[in-house]
Amino acid sequence: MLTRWNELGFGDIDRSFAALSELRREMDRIFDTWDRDRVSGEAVKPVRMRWPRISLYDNGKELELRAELPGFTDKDLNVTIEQSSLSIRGERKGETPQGYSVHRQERGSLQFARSFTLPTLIDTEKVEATLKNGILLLKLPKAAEAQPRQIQVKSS
Amino acid sequence: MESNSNEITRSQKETLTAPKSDHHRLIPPVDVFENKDEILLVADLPGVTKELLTIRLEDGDLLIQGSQEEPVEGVQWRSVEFVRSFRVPNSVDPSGISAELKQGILHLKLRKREEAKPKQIEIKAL
Repeated sequence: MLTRWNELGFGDIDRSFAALSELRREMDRIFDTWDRDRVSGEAVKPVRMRWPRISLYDNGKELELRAELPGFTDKDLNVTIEQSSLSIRGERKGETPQGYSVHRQERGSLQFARSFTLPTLIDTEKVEATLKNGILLLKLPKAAEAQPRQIQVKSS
Repeated sequence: MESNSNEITRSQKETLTAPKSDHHRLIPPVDVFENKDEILLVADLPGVTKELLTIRLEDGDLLIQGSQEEPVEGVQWRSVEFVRSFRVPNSVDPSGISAELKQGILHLKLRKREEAKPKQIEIKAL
């Protein structure tokens, strides 16, 4: 019985996987072509593949998070912090301007949700969020106990 | 736009767009729309300011190149450069291009030449 299952069942599954691999290869090929920079021919990942791009920096006293969110307004974004967990959610509706026909639409509607575990505790009362030129900048002051502290060394 | 509108001549443009050595180059997503009067191009360019954006039309090749604003002092961000180019049809009037940058989004309007606009032909009944 087991043998039969192997031969028939798995055989079919193998074939399905083979078909999937084929599809996968085809997709890879398409994306590879698409990933080529049209200017230099270098392989470049389109921005959308890892969207939105987010960076987090630590300048000692505070953490700074920067997210690329073009076209987003404060109403489109939701930022929450709980303990050292930060979540950013947002949605931007794609718009086709009235009276135009569409040739290419790569921007479209966007929806995302990302969460991070921050490396330190944050003074949540003092967090500042600003949106400028399509960049969201979050300033996250570290909690007092997480601030760097100079330790006085006493010689005896 | 013509079906091959985004094809560009590589060798020609390579020199123009050679990235600054420490720049990380990205392809911004773009929407292209058209009506009878103009072609409208919309690109996501987060962090790019007017001063750091170059738009150039040369021999029918439209080049959009923008860098992100230098960020907060004392913090080292990786510089990013957005580059994208398109082949623009002859129907576009090179003197009729206008650009607007708002919230990290570029709206580029390429007006068509008068003679390239569709015309309604009036039929007279005899």
